[in-house]
Amino acid sequence: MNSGGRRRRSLWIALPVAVVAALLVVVLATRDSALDRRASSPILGGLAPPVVGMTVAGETFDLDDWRGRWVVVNFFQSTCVPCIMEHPELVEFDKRHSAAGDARIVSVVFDDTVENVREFFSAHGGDWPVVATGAREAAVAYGVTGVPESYLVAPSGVVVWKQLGGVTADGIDDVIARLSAAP
Amino acid sequence: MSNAALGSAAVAAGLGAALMGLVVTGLGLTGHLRSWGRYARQLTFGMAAAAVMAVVVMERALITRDFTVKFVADNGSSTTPPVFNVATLWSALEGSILLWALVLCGYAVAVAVKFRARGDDPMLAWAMLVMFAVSAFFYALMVGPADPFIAVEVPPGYDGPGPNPLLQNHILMAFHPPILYLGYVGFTVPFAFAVAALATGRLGEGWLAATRRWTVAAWGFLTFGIVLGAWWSYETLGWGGYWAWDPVENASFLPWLTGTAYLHSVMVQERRGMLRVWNLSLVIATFSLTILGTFLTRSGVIASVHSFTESGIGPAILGFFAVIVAVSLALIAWRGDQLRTPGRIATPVSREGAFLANNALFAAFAFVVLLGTVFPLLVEAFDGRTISVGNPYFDRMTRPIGFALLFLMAVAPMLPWGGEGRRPPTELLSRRLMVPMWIAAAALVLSVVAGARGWAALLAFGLGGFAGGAALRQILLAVRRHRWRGLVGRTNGGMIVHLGVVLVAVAFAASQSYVRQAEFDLEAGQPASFAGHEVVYVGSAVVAHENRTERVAFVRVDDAKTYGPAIATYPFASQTIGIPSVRSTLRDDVALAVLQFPEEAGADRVILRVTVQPLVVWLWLGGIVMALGTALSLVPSRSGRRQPTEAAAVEAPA
Amino acid sequence: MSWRAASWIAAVVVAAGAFLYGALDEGPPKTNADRVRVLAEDFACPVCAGQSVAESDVPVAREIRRQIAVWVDEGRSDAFIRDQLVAAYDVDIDYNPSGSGITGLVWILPLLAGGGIAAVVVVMLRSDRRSAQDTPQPPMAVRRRRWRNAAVWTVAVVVVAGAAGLLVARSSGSRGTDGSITGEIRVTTRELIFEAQRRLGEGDMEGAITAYDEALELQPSSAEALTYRGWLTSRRGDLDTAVEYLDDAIAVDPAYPDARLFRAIVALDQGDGSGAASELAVFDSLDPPPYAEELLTQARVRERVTETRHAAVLQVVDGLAAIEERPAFGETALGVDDALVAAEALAARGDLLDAVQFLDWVLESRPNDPDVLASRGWLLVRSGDPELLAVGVEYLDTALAAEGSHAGGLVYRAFARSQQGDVDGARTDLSAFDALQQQPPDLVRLIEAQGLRDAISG
Repeated sequence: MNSGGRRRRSLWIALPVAVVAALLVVVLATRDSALDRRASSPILGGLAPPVVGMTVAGETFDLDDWRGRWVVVNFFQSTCVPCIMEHPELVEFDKRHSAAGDARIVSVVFDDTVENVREFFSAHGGDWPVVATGAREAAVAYGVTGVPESYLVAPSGVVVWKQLGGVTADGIDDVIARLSAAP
Repeated sequence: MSNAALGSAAVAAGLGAALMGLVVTGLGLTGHLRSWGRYARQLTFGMAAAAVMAVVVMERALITRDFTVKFVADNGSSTTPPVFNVATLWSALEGSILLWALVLCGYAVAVAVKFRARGDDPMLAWAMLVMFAVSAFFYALMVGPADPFIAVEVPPGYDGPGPNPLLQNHILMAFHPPILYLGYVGFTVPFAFAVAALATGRLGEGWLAATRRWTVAAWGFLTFGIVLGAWWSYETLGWGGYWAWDPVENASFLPWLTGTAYLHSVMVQERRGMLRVWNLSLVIATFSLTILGTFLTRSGVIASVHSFTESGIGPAILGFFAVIVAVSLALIAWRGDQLRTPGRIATPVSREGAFLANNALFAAFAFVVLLGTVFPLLVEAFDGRTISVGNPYFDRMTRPIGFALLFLMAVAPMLPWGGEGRRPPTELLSRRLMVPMWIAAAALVLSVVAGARGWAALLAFGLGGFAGGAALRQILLAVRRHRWRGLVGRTNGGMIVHLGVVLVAVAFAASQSYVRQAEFDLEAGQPASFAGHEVVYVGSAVVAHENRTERVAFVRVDDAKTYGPAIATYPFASQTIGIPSVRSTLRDDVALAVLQFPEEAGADRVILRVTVQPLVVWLWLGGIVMALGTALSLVPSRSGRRQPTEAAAVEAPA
Repeated sequence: MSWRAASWIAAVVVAAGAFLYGALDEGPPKTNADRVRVLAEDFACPVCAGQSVAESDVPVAREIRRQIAVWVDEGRSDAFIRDQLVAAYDVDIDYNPSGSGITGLVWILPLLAGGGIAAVVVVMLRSDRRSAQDTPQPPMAVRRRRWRNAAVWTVAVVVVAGAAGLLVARSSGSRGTDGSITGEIRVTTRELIFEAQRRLGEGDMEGAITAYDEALELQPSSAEALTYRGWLTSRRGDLDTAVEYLDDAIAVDPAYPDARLFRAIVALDQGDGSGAASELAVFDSLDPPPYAEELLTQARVRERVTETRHAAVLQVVDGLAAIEERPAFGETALGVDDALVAAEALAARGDLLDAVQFLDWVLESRPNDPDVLASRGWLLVRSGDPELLAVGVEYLDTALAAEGSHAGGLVYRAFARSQQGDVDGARTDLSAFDALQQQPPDLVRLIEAQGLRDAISG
């Protein structure tokens, strides 16, 4: 009787431990790799954080002045290879929409010097505003994690789309078409 | 024969030996094989020979740059410096498993040889069975998902990328992983004997005595390995930190916590026969946590700087962990009736009472660390959100436990073992703790005079003085009575380890509390003064090495020596890493790290991060003292089991 | 009392005294850089594996660190910074798990576990003590009572530990002042500057200087503190030190009008008219706030700049005049700007003829310089004599022929034409001036002061 009681007691201890351990194993076994777990950006669906500052051309810029248009907010660095690769696509996108003025691009300098950026644009083309001062505030407000990174702001001023890495002109146009079609 | 084929053959042979070992010990246990002991011993030799062979082949492949071995093609490079070429073995997943197997086989041989006189003892058979089973698992990993010897075809002129640049720029990388593994793997031995004790039902103190030194040795290696890891990250990462509560750091810390708890609670069982279940659980938990740590490091489930690349071995290791926990729990439940012991604790204010408190604290410590480490995964599983748990959580939750442990470290060695009818030993304590108390007061006054402020750090210094004083008192008393023999043996060695712990605790509190950091943008020749030090940026130079190009900033510190923090570019990995440089003194460290060389025509500029931290060197000294104390505690003391400085005997109240 | 008891009391008093002194005494304040480091350690680098923003050197971590530094320098609270980062990067950037909802469990569970462990230890001690007198088979009633006791104790432990856990969890969300072992953050630069301004308002100059020094200790790069520290230093008469402070401030923020203004005033005090003039020019280009303008007027800075420059340049010119064989203008060390100032100075002294002759001498070396031509024209226009006015207009025409968009030429001719009654001509010149990309502020002021627009609008 006594020994039976003791055995029961050790069972009482072992069982919960076993349950907790089993739970831990199940949780660990069903987790995806940490690398695949990139949360979507919390700013999607919200009002676009401000992009305010001076452009490399020395003019002031305020994203709010462009309310009513689609705006591609593009974060880039002159030395990053994917940025150089995506740049022709941005130029193409700008060309498509410059006449109608229904969509525009603003580039935001990320961790770079103004001279580098000027050289970059004179070498690769493109004459949309490039925000230099106030760029860090914008990058941190958008939650930029690396370059290139682009956000699409709807005419209503809401961030509707985010792209990590390079964009294509067709890709952005598809998104705009899709979102314009939706009620 | 190619390296790949030779290595694969060695691994296969090792697996064969391990499986045969399982069969032989199994037959021995069922009584079908008489002289199983000899065969088992020979099989451990075979297993170890296979592991040595595999490692030698892999090192040969690495040194001769045999890129037909996939592991070498992926991780080797013709430009890696020789030392790190050898260390490349443990810089990536497959090689690290190979190293693990080698160490494990070494322990298996040591156990087989050490206990050969025990002949056909079923306890030994069970222990060997467990050792073979664990070895078989690791060999199976190398045959299956973590095969280090996959043959590949590479185009002529191929050169590998070399190991991660961070892993090949500091000599500590050559020592930290092997020593850590000696610790991790060493806990297999007490685990094997614990399982054997449960299986045979011989739950007395026999298995404890058999594995005591093994456990202490494994604990010592683990301790030193962790300190070396902290040292490495301090010297190479350049932000002045050495411990970041990273999941993988936690994974090595968890078995250390349970192992430390075990080293203390085991004395209660030896002395009074109590805490049997608890000790078994601690040994099993320690081993399970090493395996869990291996899983966390190698499955890619948790994001960590230390993580190896993702691989398919995660499920295998997790399965192994589950089996270990399930089998151990089943054994404990099955033997539950024999695990309760008649011993009792008469008064809480006694040595055994202190050990009990110590174990409660270490258990709580381990729980906090484990919970913090896996909590993001739990939340994600149940709630779908991703969260992070880091520094602020661990700091806040573990700090009170640390203080309580320091306090116990001071008081516990002074307490006599409890007995029938003993009253709380107030008189005794007031006599023995007098000197430590004065040392604590002196430490506090000294700290305040030196400018230390803030309650947390001061509490740590005061308690550190208290605990250090207690340990010193015991050591001095022992040396006075036994000369040099007063420094060896478990009790005296343990006190030296305590001194090391105090050094580490004080260094931790000081460096965390009084760290100062600033970034300077300096032109050549420009000085900057910060936190009582002056640094002058002298200029920079570009130094080309075989595998990297370094731009070194020459920085003179306090008008004395010039240091050379640098930024190194590894063209092959197209990676740029900073190489910090540290000026260390016993008082404080000035760590220099180059953040950037701003490109600007006609100017030699540098953006330099200067971190001034007091007492950092004490951490490494503490680690060395702990390792030394562990080694001394392994030297047999004169009177065998009797404790030479059993203070109660020396100064029993008249 | 035995000596041992005395010794114990002494040790405890010494230890407690030292501890209390060190714990309560305010050490040197944490600088902003220290705060930035502590904060950076509390946030996960968004693209790294298991590294904090403080540890990582990837560009994102660097940018976030810099932004945190900006926020700290602005005097933002920890909670503000946390909210900003969480809003942009989501909660998993925060290493400090929130105390509410399911995440709060991470704070509560350890206390529950701790309570449980403590309870088990207590039970072990009690039951071991009791087992000595245990009968092998306790009666049913005793066992039932034990069960009830156990249940009560379990509930009590869970409640107490859970409540403690909730408290910890509650305090976790706010990154409180003792959120890290590094100690609290007591004051911000902004508070100290505010304090300094308050003291200054009370006339406590020394107190204000102390407050600014404390602010600079915290944030050595505070342009505001540097500027006002420099200004107050200059009021105490230590001009050289003041210049150092002000130059530092200008290096930190070249577009801070206050620094430029004070630098100009200090330059005047040092007798450096041209230095003051150049600072004043920058000040004017910065679109200064009204209070700065007011201060400027109060201190008569413009007038003093003109006077000082005139005095300096007149000395040179009079020196030149004293030489018998006067060298050509091109051979002197004078620049065109100096010459223009000198002419103004001579005119202001009343020597209009001297001024014109002086410019003629300059024109010998620089025959087609539009600045000189315009200036000579303007001297004549201002004479009030109709004949001279006509000659002046000719000079202005020549100047504008040399450089069509010469701002001074346009404005001066507008004045001249308006005096001649040629309102349309004046309007044309003025609108040409208005169309210029950059209008020199002194000319704009001149137009306003003389009411030129009103004169030609009607």
